Parts: sequence; structure tokens; C-alpha cells
Amino acid sequence: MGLAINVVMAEIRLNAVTKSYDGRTHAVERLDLVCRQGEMLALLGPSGCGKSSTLKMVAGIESVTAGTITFDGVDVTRRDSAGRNVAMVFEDYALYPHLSVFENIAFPLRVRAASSATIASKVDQAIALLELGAFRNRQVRTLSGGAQQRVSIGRALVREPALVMFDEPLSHLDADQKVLLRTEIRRLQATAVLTSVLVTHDQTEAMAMADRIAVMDQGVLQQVGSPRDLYEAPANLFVAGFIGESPMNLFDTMPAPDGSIRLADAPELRLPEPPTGARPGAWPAGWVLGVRPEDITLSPREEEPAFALRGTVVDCECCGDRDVLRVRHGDRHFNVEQAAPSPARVGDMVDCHLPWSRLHGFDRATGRSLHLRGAAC
Amino acid sequence: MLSALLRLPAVVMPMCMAQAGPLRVERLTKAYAGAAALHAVSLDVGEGEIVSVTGPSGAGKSTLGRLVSGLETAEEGRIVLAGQDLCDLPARGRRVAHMFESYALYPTLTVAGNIALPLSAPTSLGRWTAAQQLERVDEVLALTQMAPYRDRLPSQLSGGQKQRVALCRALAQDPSLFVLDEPIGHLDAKLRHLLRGEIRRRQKQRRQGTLWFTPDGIEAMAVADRMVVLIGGRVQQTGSPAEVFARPANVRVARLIGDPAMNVVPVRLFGGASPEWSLANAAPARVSSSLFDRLAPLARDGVLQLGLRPADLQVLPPGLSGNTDGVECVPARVYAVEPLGKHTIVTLEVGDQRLRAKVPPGSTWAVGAPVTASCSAAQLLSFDSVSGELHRPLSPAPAPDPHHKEALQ
Repeated sequence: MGLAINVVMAEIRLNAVTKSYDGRTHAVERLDLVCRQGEMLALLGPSGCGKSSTLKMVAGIESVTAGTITFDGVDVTRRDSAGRNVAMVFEDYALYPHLSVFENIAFPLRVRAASSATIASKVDQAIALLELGAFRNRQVRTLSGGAQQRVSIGRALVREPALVMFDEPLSHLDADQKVLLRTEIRRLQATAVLTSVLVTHDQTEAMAMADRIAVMDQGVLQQVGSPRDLYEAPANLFVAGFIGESPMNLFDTMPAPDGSIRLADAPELRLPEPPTGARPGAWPAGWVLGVRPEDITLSPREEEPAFALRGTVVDCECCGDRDVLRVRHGDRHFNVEQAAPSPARVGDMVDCHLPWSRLHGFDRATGRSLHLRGAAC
Repeated sequence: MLSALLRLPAVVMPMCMAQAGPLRVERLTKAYAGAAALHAVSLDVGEGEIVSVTGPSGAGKSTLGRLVSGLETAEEGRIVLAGQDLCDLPARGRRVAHMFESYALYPTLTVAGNIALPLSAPTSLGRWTAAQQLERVDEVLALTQMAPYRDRLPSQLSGGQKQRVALCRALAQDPSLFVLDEPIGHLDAKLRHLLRGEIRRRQKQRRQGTLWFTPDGIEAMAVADRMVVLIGGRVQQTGSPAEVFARPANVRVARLIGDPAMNVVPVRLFGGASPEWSLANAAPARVSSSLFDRLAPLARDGVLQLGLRPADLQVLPPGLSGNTDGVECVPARVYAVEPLGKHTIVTLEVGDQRLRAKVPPGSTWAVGAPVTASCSAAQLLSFDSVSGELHRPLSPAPAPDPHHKEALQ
């Protein structure tokens, strides 16, 4: 399935873009970002992080307080939405419910008074691309949410836009439809080479669909990188906590009088020296140790330098092929994820092995990554 | 008669002895002009047990919850709570704390006021002092991370915050049963994941049972001691999350449960000296004799449905066909690759269907690339080609009847 629709997509650049609604506080602060030609860039963050303001500024719906936005090197900062040729896919589809699939997709072309031959050819190409052939003449209100959203994607594509913006495209869908459409959008992105921006608060959706992800918090860009980069090497505590489900376990460390490192929640445990690389002395006095639930094992792995935290299993969440154990050590709870069925039962005492090669470290004061894994590997 | 019933509990059972006890729903039937009818639905919830009810939208989940709470009446069947038949009791006599999917908040009351309202209602009169009511309100506000919003009005809240107020209002009560209708469906993914554990652990400390309705199969597994799968108004399966995941009763359940859900594909078997099979109408490929011998007696006209869990599917380089050591291989093509961090979902095209494989992170298969899909035969489930029911395990292979022999050519 190649793209039969002729789309020439742009490269989008944001240069020190700032948005302030009240003149005092910044919804978006000096944002530098590139969406490369043919890639999907996700803007990811919790509500209030500035992702929606960014989307509106790129689309030309909201003015830019400071900074510039360029499409293929052309400054479009002062252009309105129509002058940028941006197509939107909304969370609630925004279709005409009583019109057919064909007519909904044809709508932007009819507005532009395209010839009926052009309309028929482009719309049918979009229908084929999005596998809507079986529904071509159905009223969209009779379709599932997932199919309706595919119609709205088709409507965006026939405009031959410079950029497609997906605004929380899956949030109104049932769980099973979400998974299906997620794959379809990913596939479309990979084969049709769209330049697109995805706005979502859901890290799973961003990871699944986007080529690169820009994580934002309180108007400030935290990190931009591939899904793998963000997962394997989060730049700071915010990204570490936001990416991953169940979230990364974080432990405060403290230096002991004997020069060793201790966990604040388990001061009796003397952390062994890391196998190679960084000296504890070079690290900030208080740093935060991070470990993902699936990187903790209940039995030591061969040849893998690790240390063990003993705890009691207090709860177990069945997630199908994975079990998430909640383990208590003293007053501290943390999560351990295991392939199901886990042999551990609620009430069991378990040794949780934290392998050095899978640990993350962060400066507690600044939140920045200490690149512990780079040092220890 | 009715008024007598209404007054009676206040006298005979002081509220401080609110009866927590098992819930038993027996052959509940409700017909509607609409779609959300129920057909002979039975389930039970033990004391302190969390039972989730999951199914797609329109399955009848909300209807079932409303029948238990007394907001609707059933045509047939019984609802017994703590030994008491509820069907003749009006909603307010049932002592069921029902959280509505639509929130149903009072717009003129603050967050705290909405949550406290049932605690000061006539049915709770005198149970809690004002200080105790406050304590209960604060406990649930903290649990749901809503404490900063306690004095706001509903109109000043986001949808997710309103949902948490509705949830708080149900949880703050001390009823005989909790009914939670999609309690966390409108929260963002992060909070949903966190709260499902927090609420589950809180409810496990209670004497009362909890009925938790959700369309999300993973949430249904994660929160529940036992789960009920409801599709088309009929109970498809009841069991522990691990049981339902391991052995879905039929293809409808299989397609609903898992992250992502199980792949279900039609298979046609071709007997002979070297047996073959065709998955999803793909060109016939070799299948091991041992698997063929296991499946052949179960097939109808040589056809059945196979269930393959995404985590059991492996993606290997193309051209492998070694159906040995209990490992089956079929040619496939990569349709899409979704890197999710701790694992990657690879969608494969096999024949005219798409299968999902959950593989270790870092897989870099190109879209469109030919590959081999591989699965251990022991992990495969098989379902009847017509009824969709799961074939029972380890059933001694019966001698294939003549009908089958013909079908298998």
C-alpha cells in the first residue's frame, strides 16, 4: 500500500516560540523544535504543559507572542491558518454525521470547487488508502469511532496539506479501537511519509505512533528524541516519571559516613561499588536512583552486577502476560514487573535484584540525568 | 407495604450494622427496545471481593449496574444481597453506593459538599458526626488526588476531575455494596494507571464487595479478584483474571482480553504424508505432524480458529520453515512497528489478516519486510470454527469420524 495521493509535505521549525495569554506567565516558553519532512513529531505532556498552545500556534489558530515559525524555511508566523495549508484531525472527528463517507472526505475539495473527476479520483484513493471501501456510501454516524476517525484522516489528506496535525486522535475511542487505529496511523505515517504533529497526553500513544517525541512540562521542552531514547535515556526526572507504565521507581540516595551510598528508604543496605566508570564521589551528594519495574528481577542473573532489596509482596496486578507486584520495604513501596504468571504470591518475602546496567541516576536538585547507565555499562 | 419496608430497616437494623454480605445475581433478564438488554445474567460477589464486569460498549454493563442499584427493574431473576432479596426494595432501601458513569453531580454544591451529601442523607442520619463526615471526605479526596479542589464547584472542574468527585461520593459511603460504573475511564492514562491500584487496595480493606464496570479489559484484569466478561447482554465467562487470560471461553472473549488482545485466525488443515495448513487463507504451508494430529480431530470440515497471544508470537528472519521441536513457523510481512519502550508491537500480515506480536524492545523490522512468524505449538489455543467456543484442553483425541476424514482430504 503506497500513497496514491500526491502530498508535498513541509519541514516545520519553531524558533524560540513563546506564548503568553496574560503577558506575565508563559504557556510556552522559548520553544525550539523541528518537525522534519516526513516524520511524525509528538507533543507529549500533562494538561497545562503547553502542547495544545503549541499546536494552535503551529496551525495558525493562535497568535505567537514571540519567536518565529517557518514552513520549509518560509516564515509563516503572521499567516493565518488557511495561508499555512495545515490539515487537522480532531479528537471528536468533526464530521458531518448525516453525510456519507465519500461526501465527508470530498468536502474540502468541493469547497475548493474541484472538478467532479478530480474529486472522485482523490477521494477514492483516500478511501482505498484508509481501507474504507466497504463503507464508501454509508452515513458516517453508522460507523464505529475508529472508522469515523479514519474518515477524518482521509478528509485531511485529500487537501494535500503541508502538515497534518493530530489532536488527541484516539481519546474518544474504545480500548480495542484505540489499538487498531494506533497501528493504522503508524502504518500510514511510515508508508505515506506525512509530515505530522501529534498532540497527546498519553505516552503509550506517542511512543506507538511518533518517530520522535517532544516532552513538555509547564511550557518548557524537557526532551526531544525517539521513543527509544526517551525510554532508555530520560534526560531528567520529569521524563523518567512520565514515560513508562508502570512508572519508573525512584529512590533517594544518601552518602554514608563510611563513604558508601545508601538508599534513604533502606539505610541498612550498603550499595556495592558500581562495576566500572563513575565514582560515587563525583556525583552530587543527594542523587536519585531510578529503576524501571521490568528491569528488577526476583533472582540474580548470571554475571550481572546487581544488588538486592528485600521486601514483602503486598499486592499483585494481573495485566495478562505481565504481573505487576507491589513490594514493600520498610515504609517504602515499589513496583516489580514480571512475565506472568509470577511465582511470587502476596505475603511472600522476595529479593529484588537491581542490576547496575539497568539503573538510572538523577541529580536531585536539578532533576538532570547523571548518565549513570552510560558510565556503568 | 412499601412504606413498612422502608421504615423497617431503620428500626430492625440500625445503620451502624449496615449489612456487608455477598451479592448474588441470578438469571437476571431485562429486555429493551434498545440494544443493552440482559439475558439470564448470573454472577456473585463475595464479602470484600472486587468483581469486574467488562465488555464492549452496548454489552449491558450499565444496565446490570442499574438493576443491582434498583434504578431499573428486571423482568426476571433475583438479586440477593447479604441474604436479603433486593428486587422488592426501592433504590434507597438497598444501601448500594452507585457511582454513575455520567457523574450526576449537584452543580450548586462544592466538591466536598457533593461527596458529603450521602453521608448526611436521611438514610444515614446520625451515623457520623460532622467531624467524622469531614474525615471520610478528606480520606477519599486524598486517595484520588483531589484535595486541592475540595472547595470548587463542579463547573470549575475538568471532566476527569468531575469523574473523581463522583467516585469519591461513592467511596465515602459505608454501604452494603459498591457499584462503580467506569470509575476511572475519563482520567488520563497516567492517573488511571495509578488510581486503579490505589482504589483496588482500599477496597480490599473493606468488608463490602465491589462491582467494577469497565470496557477496558486490562483494567478489568488489574483491579479484580474475579472478572465477568459480558458481551451482547450475556455472560461469556467468569473467572480469575489469570484464568480468563489463559483460557478465554470463546473467540469473543479472546478478542477482548490482553494487551493487545489475542490474535484469532481461521485455519484450514490439509492432511497427507506431510500435513499442511493455511492460516487466514494464505498459501498452504507445512505444519508439524504433532500439531496437525492435535488439531485435526477438532476441525469442522478441516477448518477451525487458532488463538495466538501477541507475547507468544516471535518475529524471525524470512525463509524459516522448521516446524520442529513444537515450534511452528509461517511466512509473514511486516505491516507496522510500534515501539512502546519495554516492548515493541509488530503487526504482521499473514494471509488476509493482521496479527500482533509483542516482541522485546529494539526490534528494527522495516515496514513491508518479509519475515517469519513463529509460535510454540504449546501456546496455541484452538476454537470451534462455527460456535467460536474454546476447545477443551488435553481432551483425548477421539478417532476422527468419517465426516472429518472427508473434510481433511
